Amino acid sequence: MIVGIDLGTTNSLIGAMDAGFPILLADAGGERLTPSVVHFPESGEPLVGRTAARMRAVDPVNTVYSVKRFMGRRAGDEADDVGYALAGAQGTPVRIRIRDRSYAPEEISALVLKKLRADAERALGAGVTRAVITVPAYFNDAQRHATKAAGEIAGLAVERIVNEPTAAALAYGLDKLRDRAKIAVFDLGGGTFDISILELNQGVFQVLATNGNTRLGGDDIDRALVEHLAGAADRAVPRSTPLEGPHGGPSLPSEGRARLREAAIAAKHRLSTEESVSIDLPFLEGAKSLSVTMTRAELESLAGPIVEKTRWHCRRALADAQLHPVDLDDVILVGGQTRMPLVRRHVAEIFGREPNTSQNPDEAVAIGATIQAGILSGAVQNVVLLDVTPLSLGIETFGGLMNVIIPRNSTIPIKAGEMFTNAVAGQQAMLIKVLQGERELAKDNWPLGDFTLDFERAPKGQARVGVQFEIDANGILQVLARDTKTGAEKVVQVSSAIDVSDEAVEKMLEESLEHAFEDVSDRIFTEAKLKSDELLPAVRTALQKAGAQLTDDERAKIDAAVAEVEAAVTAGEPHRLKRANTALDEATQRLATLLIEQAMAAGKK
Amino acid sequence: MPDYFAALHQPRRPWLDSAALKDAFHQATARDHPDIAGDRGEKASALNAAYAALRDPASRLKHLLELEWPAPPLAAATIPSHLADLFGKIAGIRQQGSNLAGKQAAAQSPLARALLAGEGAAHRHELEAALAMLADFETAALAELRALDAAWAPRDEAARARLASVQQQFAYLAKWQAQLREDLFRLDG
Repeated sequence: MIVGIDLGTTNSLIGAMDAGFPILLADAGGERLTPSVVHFPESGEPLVGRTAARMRAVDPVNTVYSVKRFMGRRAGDEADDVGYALAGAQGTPVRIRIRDRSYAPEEISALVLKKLRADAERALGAGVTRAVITVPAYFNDAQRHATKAAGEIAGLAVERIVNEPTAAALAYGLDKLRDRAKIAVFDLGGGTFDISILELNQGVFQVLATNGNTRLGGDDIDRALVEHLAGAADRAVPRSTPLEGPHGGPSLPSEGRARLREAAIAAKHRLSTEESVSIDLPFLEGAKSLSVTMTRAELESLAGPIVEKTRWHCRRALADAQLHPVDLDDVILVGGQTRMPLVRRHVAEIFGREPNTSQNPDEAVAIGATIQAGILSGAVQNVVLLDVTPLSLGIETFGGLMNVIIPRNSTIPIKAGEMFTNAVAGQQAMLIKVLQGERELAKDNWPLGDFTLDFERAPKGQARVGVQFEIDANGILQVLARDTKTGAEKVVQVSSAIDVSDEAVEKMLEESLEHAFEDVSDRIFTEAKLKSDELLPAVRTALQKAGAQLTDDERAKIDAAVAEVEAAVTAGEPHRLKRANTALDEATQRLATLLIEQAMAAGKK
Repeated sequence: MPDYFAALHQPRRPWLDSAALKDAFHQATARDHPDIAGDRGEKASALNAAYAALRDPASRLKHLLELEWPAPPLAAATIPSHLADLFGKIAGIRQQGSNLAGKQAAAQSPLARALLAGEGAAHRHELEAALAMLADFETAALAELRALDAAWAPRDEAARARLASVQQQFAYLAKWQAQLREDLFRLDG
């Protein structure tokens, strides 16, 4: 028996095959959805799931949620805007500090997995030791390793790491095995976004392209909503210390903040079906209470910029698959955040069709993981999944460039060989840096780690070592080195890039300090001046082209804003100039719209 | 060198039917994928490599040339003149595109970006026209490939030169199409 697990940012689920059908297993309380939350009480065993989630507002500093964001990540990569404390120096693996102990994110995830495992064993009446676990398709090598490690800590042999949107496609396609179709899976969860394009061909599920963002999800909407509510509370109750804090950070005690968050999430959920909700939080801070009404339109204006970020990834995946939206037969929605009407409208607009909402957005991924477990155990026949590697794999070459060895969207498993020769006579070793990402410069990509190749002593160009880069069906990299003389192969240990040396950390700190000591006011003026140097001639040109279409009032506002910018430049006042630039930007908004309309009209002719 | 044609049970010929090739790949992989076969993925990696090489005409013909004539060609084939002209044209369009991209990147205000909208629309039109032209060349190259396939005799020296020339055409066309598609993608933000 192999179980299928969806280890989500917000919720997790577990399932097993039963008489040829995937079923999800409930806990003792009859619930299939387990919140991915762990609470550490002052004494005794940690609480996991629903009981832990209840402690989030009561004891936020000892309650860990959304830990998936930190899997395989380094401190400084991620915003630390969570209710609990993070530890670990800049550039080293993120750790979570609870009371006098610190935990790796994998350890927290393992506690969630252990709870799921215990629930499954109770439901099945049998031991569970093997699992398929899903990850966001856009997870890199380090994040996949961390997920696998979490499974192992929980006592599970991880038989396969499966990409979430691919799993969802299995759930969608299991009853369509005779069909041929091209589909897109749009997966917007609590913390991550994936878009995958697949071709279904008589039981073969082939991923054509995948893209995504592992830091984009419903959590971002929650955060924007909390900020908005904190601001509303400030305006409603004037106070000496604003709730938002002087730098936009939280000055509200973490307990109040956690309550605000809970209320925000509840409001977000209700606004998917209702047009307006009222939010009442008595005694939010001391004697002060919060009472506001929020409409769906208000929520959408906050969430709009976040949801809009998915567009680029969808276009990228379509372009990589060399398909147009009309070529698709279906667009499937998964992930809890796709319940939001705004998200559905957005998807409909990008793909030019109404999305398919037949799948339960919370359960499709877990069902798919269970089917994949069935494929591995033989319980599901005539189905196979061909997935791809989401990110290009390469090595750093001369000049700090990235040399791609396995391009993104290559079907896995895949191998690629590379031959390395000594650059000078007698060279004994060469350091190879392995990278993942799509940027040209090596430093802009994600460093997976490095390894050293040993050469025999030989004249220049004579010592040769062949290196095989292999991405397995889990999307995890293995490196083999082959001696060209003996033909012996050995596995190369790629030292994780996460273990950055102390020296490197110090250097990063130094660099950030250097910037801090620059003359701030000078820099603001220089930057603002650059902008006005561009803006003023642009306004003149634009007025010549489309000025005639403006009203007198609009024209007067632009003239006044131009005069203010010129005055601020002459006066040499940095902050005044910055404000004046912004005002001119705003005053010329309609002018910009007119120009674009002109260009579009000309393009159509 | 592996024989990718044999790996996917395809005839060793210049022309392959792409739908039949895909079906052959899917059938083989449904048997040899590590999820089914239970191995470390050795067979599946080989199938993936074979399919990636055969589905694209440029890499398929390159592989066919290497299989049929293991010794390298005596002299590099010269670029046909119509392709050389095309190269100049495409380089010109891409140069314009990178100038425009530079201006777009430098434009900080919405107004400055709006002023570039006209130029952007014109450039998009040029890219689309160039891609349509490349599609026509591709159709012609495919017709030539079919003709070559109809008269195919293994290890025929006369065929070798023709095959090399068609291979080169596909390689250039594929590269330019990829570049222009990428430019178009970036132009749309």
